[in-house]
Amino acid sequence: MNPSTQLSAASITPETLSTEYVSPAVCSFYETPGGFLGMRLNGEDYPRVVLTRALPLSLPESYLCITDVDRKELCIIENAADFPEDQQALIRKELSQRYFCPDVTAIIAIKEKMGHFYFDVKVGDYPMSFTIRDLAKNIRCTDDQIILTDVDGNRFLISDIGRIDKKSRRKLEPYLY
Amino acid sequence: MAERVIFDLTPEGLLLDGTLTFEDGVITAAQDGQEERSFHAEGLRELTVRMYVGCGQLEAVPQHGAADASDNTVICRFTMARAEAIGEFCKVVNHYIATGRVTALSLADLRVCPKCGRRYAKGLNVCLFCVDKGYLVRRTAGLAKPYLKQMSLTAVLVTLASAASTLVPVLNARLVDTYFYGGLKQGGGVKGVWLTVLAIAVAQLAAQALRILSQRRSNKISCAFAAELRGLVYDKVQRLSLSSMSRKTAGDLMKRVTRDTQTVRSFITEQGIYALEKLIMFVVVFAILVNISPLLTFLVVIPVPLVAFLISRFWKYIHVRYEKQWRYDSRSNSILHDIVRGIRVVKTFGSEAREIEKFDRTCAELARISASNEHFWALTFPFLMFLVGIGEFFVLIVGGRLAIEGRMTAGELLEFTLFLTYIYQPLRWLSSLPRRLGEVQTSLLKIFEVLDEQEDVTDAAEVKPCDLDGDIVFDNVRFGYKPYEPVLRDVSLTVKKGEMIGLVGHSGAGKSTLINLIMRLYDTDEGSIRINGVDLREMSQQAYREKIGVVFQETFLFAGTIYDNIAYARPTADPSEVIAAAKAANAHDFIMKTPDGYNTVVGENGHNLSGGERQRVSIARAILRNPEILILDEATSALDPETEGQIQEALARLVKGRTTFAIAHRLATLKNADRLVVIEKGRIAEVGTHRDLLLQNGIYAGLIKAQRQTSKFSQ
Repeated sequence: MNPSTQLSAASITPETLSTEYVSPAVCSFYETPGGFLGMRLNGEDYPRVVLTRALPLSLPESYLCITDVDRKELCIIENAADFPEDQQALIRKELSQRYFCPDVTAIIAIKEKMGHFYFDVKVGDYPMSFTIRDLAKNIRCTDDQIILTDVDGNRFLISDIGRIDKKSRRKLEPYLY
Repeated sequence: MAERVIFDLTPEGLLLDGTLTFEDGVITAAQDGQEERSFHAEGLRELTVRMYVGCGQLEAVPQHGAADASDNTVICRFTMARAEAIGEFCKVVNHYIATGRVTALSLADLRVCPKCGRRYAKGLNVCLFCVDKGYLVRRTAGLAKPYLKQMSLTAVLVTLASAASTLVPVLNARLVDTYFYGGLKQGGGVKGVWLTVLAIAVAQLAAQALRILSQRRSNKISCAFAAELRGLVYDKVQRLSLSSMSRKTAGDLMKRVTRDTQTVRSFITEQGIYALEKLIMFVVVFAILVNISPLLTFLVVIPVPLVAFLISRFWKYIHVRYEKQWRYDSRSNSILHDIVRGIRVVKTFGSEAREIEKFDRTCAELARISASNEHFWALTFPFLMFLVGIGEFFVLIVGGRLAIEGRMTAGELLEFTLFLTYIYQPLRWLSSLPRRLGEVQTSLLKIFEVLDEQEDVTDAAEVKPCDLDGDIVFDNVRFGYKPYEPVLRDVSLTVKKGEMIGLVGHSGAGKSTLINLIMRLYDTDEGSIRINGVDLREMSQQAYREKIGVVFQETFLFAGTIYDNIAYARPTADPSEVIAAAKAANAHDFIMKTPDGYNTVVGENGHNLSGGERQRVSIARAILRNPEILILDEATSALDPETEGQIQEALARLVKGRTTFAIAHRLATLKNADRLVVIEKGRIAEVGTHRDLLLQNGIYAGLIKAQRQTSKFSQ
């Protein structure tokens, strides 16, 4: 028997093997006085739940896992759009708190020292500086967006390379591949 | 005194500058345009940090808060850039809640330049933008002091070589003016020509000979200097604590010992002496040129600033372009590497065409970038080189006119143009010097950073005797590798001498961390570990580690023989002791079946042996050590049942009479433990015998059930 199978043995239980996709008919959300997201599922109340994206880059509002604070999975929402407007607003608010990925609007400067790339950028009007190491790993280009991950684990998004100004694009271009 | 850190996110996820303060038992979060919010530490059980994606939040947990954390209060939110500082803040407040004492906020490890706010580069504790260059020069000069005499001698040789070189154009000018032109006018003398040509040859030979001598000397100096640096760095790396080591990768440390010292050596050999020669030459020749014709010298100098500027821009730009090409090259290599390694998977899934297309696409992109770079190089570099020598045209036009008008002799003009080469060569070299200086500066920084590193786990000024003949007491131990992620909390346990403790829990619960603390690879953040009443921090690390033995899941054997590897634990052991240890470890039989017996070479990391054989050798090593405290970290997990049986037998002999801590995911292997300690989320959740814990029907019982179910699945 493979030892790795045994290592994960403790977490393989019949409960974790089944996945419950839920619909608004059985699942609803509310905001607690403390500002947390609560959930009623099949008549049962969960006063604090956490939403996690299964496909944060490709499908950010689909396949959302709902867990308790100890990351025990309770159910999955296949598509947030299936829920009523007010519920969608609660879902989006919770997701925006769980995922912080500011949209870079301009690149002021990129300086390289010893394999570290020091970025001075603007997020809206707010100037920010961050450092990226190992470009191959930490700059991800998809068809229309670029995700930069800095040495601290912060993520920065360029949601549309065509929308940032020409000067910024020229500065960034040599580092994209 | 108030402890203060910055947080930078609003609850809605907008960026801001907020301040978090802890003063007189009150936590205050203040942000622009918002009312301050205060929390009294007295009503709290603790502060906790929850990390999300790219951000985190600090929450206050009330004294009798619900298990699902629904009545926590969010104090503030922050980006990852603030996570470590907030984690430290959290530690300070939690320490206050637990003990009523305030400790100072330790932000020394945050690795951010206090001057410019930039992150330090990987493995460095200084900012590359703000580092005092004088510091590097002083530090290097201090190390180079013993070589000063030899370096001075080399400098004299280089100066002489330069002087001999400068004689060549002077003699050429003499040849033209005195014998060719003079000869036409005055009849001259063939003998004079011969003698001048001979003098030119001698000057050139002397210059070359002196260069060879100086090069040999500089090689000698740089090799000795690099060897000394390498020795110093290696010595320090050996003495670094595990937490310092874990901040750097093995590759990074190896590079510091080898590549960085090599960079310094190359710089001294190739640049140091060359720089000296070029500098001397530049100054001398410049003086000669001014002496011959200040006007022509002025013409030579005019384009220099522009050309120097263009060249430095060129290097900067071409560097970025080639970097990009290099990255594409490395990507196509890694794709190829992936496909070749995973060829069975590719073929099984019939995805050859897809993989070929992927590789072709990358290769095409690499070809496009390479061609574009070569095109750029071919277009710009010759033009730049033409610009570098443009002064020569001015000299020929104006100098020719001066010669025709008789204000300058033909020999002087020839001398001047010959000397121009001596001026342009150093200029071309100078344009690439900043890049080379940058490289050596980085290497020196990395070397000095290791040499100057303070050790985290240090011996006390006065160490107490290392007597392990007593109980081991864990007293409210708290520890985390990162300040915002405590791994162990409030761990209190007394282990009797000779007792075997099995550590049980889910992956990531904190079992291995507890073992790291027992080995004193790290010191506790709070609380203490005492053996026989003495705090581990008061014992000498060396004396303590001599009395503990460890068998890991990943056994590491050094290149050498089986005998060397067993005797590594006690090099003074005689062969009979080594054989006895191997017998106790059930290793003797397999060793004797090999043609070279104990002299069998195990290869790098023991690759000539199987996993079970390597494990038995490492157990023999632990047995030979005769430790008072034994640590078994998943010692049998990667083995087949038969081998495991033999090793269990060997381990049973080893643990007898010794205080033992064992971690095993296969819970059956801990059946002989006197007590089992279940660790859950960094806290001790259950303690008792196998039977007690089954009866409790808690976490341990759950783990046993889950493992039985898995066994059924796999059967």
